[in-house]
Parts: sequence; structure tokens; C-alpha cells
Amino acid sequence: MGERIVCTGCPLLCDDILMIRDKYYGICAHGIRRISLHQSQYRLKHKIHGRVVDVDKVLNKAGEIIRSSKNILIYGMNTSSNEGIRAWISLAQKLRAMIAVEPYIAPLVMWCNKVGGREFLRPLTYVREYSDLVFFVHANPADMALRLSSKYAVYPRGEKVPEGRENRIIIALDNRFTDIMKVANYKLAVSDTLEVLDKLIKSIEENRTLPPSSIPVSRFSLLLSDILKSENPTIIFSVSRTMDPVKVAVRLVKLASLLRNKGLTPTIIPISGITNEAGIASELVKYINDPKYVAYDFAEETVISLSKAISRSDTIVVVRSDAFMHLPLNMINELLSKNIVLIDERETLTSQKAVVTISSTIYGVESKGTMTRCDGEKSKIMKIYEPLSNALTDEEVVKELY
Amino acid sequence: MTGRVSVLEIYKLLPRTNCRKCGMTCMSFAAKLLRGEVGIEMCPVLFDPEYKGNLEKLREILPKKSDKPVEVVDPDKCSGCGNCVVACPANVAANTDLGKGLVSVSDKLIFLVVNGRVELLHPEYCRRLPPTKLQCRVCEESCYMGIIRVYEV
Repeated sequence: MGERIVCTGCPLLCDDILMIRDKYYGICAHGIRRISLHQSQYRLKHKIHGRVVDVDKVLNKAGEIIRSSKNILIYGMNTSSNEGIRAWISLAQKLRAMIAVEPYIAPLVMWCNKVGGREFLRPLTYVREYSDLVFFVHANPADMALRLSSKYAVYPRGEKVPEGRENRIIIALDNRFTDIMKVANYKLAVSDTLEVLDKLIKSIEENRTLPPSSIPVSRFSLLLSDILKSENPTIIFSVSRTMDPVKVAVRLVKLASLLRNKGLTPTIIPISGITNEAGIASELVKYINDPKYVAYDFAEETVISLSKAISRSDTIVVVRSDAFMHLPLNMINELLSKNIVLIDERETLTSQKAVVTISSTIYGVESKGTMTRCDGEKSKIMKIYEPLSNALTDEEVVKELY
Repeated sequence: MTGRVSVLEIYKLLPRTNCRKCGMTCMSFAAKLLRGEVGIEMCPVLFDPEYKGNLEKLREILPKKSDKPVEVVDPDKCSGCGNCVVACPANVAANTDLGKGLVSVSDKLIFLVVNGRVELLHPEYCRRLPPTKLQCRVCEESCYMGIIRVYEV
């Protein structure tokens, strides 16, 4: 009955969504929003200077801009498929251009890998079956991956956790009271989360309770005891835009290493909420492998900072990202003076500032391929509907541009 | 928010004289009030003018009686996270796949997420109803958006 589809609304890439006669069972708000985009009035059209044109004209104009540019930056790729990301990388190599990702997403995964987190990465299905303690660090499923708690981390019953929530200890650590704290055993809304992590590490190292200033000693002692009593603890972490991901990742990897030394089987899963964050990370990690940088210059074969990449470029090819929405003000001011070629699915702030906008297909809705789930598992995404007239995949755009 | 009250909160609003005019101590009366086993009117002292404020407050905070055990009060706010679907023991008993976090459709489901929001299909299978009459509120407690309400039936 019905057909199973893979949802590309968030990095969980849920593969169990049931489609029966245009109704989607089990899909969350992020997923239905992405599917609804197919017939949305806000779909991006092929435009030059705000005027709607046909696909040939828009590709010619984009090619013209790219050919006349000395320094090109390709930026974003948030909802591109793995094949699309590879196509953009190959274009950047051929053009000797720069490539950059959003400062808050794929680097999270790269940084985690760089500091040794990869050895603790296990599939989310493992978390569902075995994890008896889940420690959310700056991660709020109610924001970024809605089904994380119901499908993997909090409620589902698994082999070692037959009663689901009853068998799990949930810890939520953040700077603010988040939605996951509503269902957590330990609701740690504290101003200095790094101090809490430091004290946890020190307490385990020294085998004594050393509470942080924000948590009473009795509560911290219970928390510590619950962590050490667990067998398969999982740390799911994210970082806010004002935080240094390296600082968090280093501490979490250290914490996981200590727990492993105590005989536990810890798991670390980084998550940011961007659909193909792990795909971007796995494709780009061989270039952008320094935790301080999110851009790579193929001309000089070196990593550079995003602000330098933006100021050095004269044309920015923004791929499936709303740069004007999320970049800091100083970078936005720089962007205003550049030629912007946008490839995206929908109208955004960036589409209003772009010289050329190219309408793209929606991966997982109008075009197929592969994406990588936040735990590193590859997922085949499918085509549900025929794309709107003249919308292009990333591979098609790259082929036409070069 | 869920609006859940504790026995102690109710107890504090009672006269706390242990006069036993209702046939029990104030603490027992508070517990039974919360479970919906007795009504406020069984405590005559509470209707004295000096307890007028307490009475009003009690009427405000006590679980409301309804002919349905559960309701999704604002479906437009639902994010479709599916916590209620997986947490509800009656749902999972009707379809074990749901208990594993997997999407599945079958008869006798109380909650099901369709097109990004939860639908209340068969509240008549809720464990709060006879014959079990359990004081279960996991759906209400698991809802991030606070849009599920359970009632005393």
C-alpha cells in the first residue's frame, strides 16, 4: 500500500515516508514544506536583472559573467545532491576558482572529524537500537531535525531499550531553555556550557565530583553517575552561530574517549539542520581540512577564510543557499558589490540581489541522486514529480556553464 | 504548556483542616480531585466565603472534564515531529512498527502524522477510557509544541 519515499527536508533524510495518493504519512513540517515547494508561487524563475527570460538566455548570460570574471567563488550547495556537489567542485577546479560552504554547517562535521570524532560516528539506527543515554549538546531536534527524537533518539523502542523513553536518560545542555528540555531528565540551560563539559571531563578523569558553578553538586553528581552507568551513550551536538565549533568538538571527543576507557560504547553525531551537510563535508573534507577555514582556493591550492574569499572574488556563484540571510553584515556589504549568479529552488533575499538567477530542480522531489545522512550513511533520493519546465539540476547547470 | 497540576498544588488550595466532612483527609481529597474521582462540591468548607479565591483558582487549574480523553487543540502549530505517535502506548500496541519509530498506517491508531501535522484518528482507543482508565498523559508530555490536551473523562 502506497510508496516509500526519502524526505530531503532535513539531514535525517527519513526513508520511511509513506506516500498514498498525494498524502504523505509520517512526514514532518520541514519535509512537507520542501515537497510543497514543487508547486509554490515562490519558485525561482530564470531571470536576468529581475526580468524573466528563457533558459538559453539565462545560461548564456551566466556563462558570459563567469568567463569575464577573474576570481570566482562558488558558495553554498546546502541542498545539492552528492553528484551536484562533485559537479561544482570539478567546475571550481577547471575555473581555478574558490569554493566555500556556509560557516555553520559542513565545517561542523569536518571539525568533528578533524579532532578525532569520526571514530565515534555510528549510524542513527544504532542509536535507536542500543542507546540508553542521549546527551543533546546545543542540539534541539524541535528546530533542526524534527523526527530525530521520535525516530531515533528519545522515544523509539530498540533491542537494548525495549521500552523506549522509559529506558533512556535524556540530557539537554544549551545556553537557553530549548524544546528538547521539555522531555529531558536533565535540563541544563546554563550560560557557560563549555564549563559544564570541562567539569564533566575533569570529574571522570579524577574520579570525583567537580560540579560547575551553574549546577548544584547533588544534581551534578546524579548526572555523572547516570552517564557512567550507561552502556551506549550518544552525544548529538550542534553549535550556535556565535560559538566556536572546535572548542565544543574537542571537548566532546575527549569526553567520548574517557567514556570508552571506562568500558562504555559512546557515539557522537554532529548535526546542523542543513539537508546535505554530511555530503558537503565528505566531498570537501579533502580540500577544506583546516578547522579555521571554510573556503578553498583551487588557483593557489590552499584554504582561505570565507571573508577573504568573498573580498577576493568578483563573481559569486551562490548555489542553493540564502547568503544574504545568514552571513554577517560585513560580508553582506562585500557581497553587494559583486556579480551574483544564483542557482536555487525558491525566491530568497539573495535572489533579489542576484544579477542572474537560474531555476533549479528540487533534489528528492523533482530529481534523483544520492545524499548523505548526518550520521554518514548514504541515501538514495528519488524523483516524485516531474520538474517544472526548464528547471535544471546542478549537473546540468555546470555542464552548460563550462 | 501542558497545564499539568500536581497534588501538592491542589492540596495547598484546600482548607487543610482535615475535618473529614468529605470522608477523607485533605491530602487524599486532593489526590482524588486530581484523578477526577471526586468533585469540588464534596468539600463544604471550600464554599465558605474565606476560601472564595481558592475555589476559583481550583476551578481554573483542575483538569477539565470532557467527553473525549484527548484533543489536539491547535493542529496548525503542529510540527509533525511524531513524538506523540511513537510515545503513545495504545498507538504502539495497535502497530508495533510505530514503536520502532517507523512510519506505518493501520486501523485503531489514535495519532498519525499526515502532511506535516498530527491527526487524531481514534481517541476512543485511549488508555484513559474504560476499561483501563489509566492516568496516562505521555502524548501531552511528549509534545514539543504543547498542543495536545488530555482531559478527565
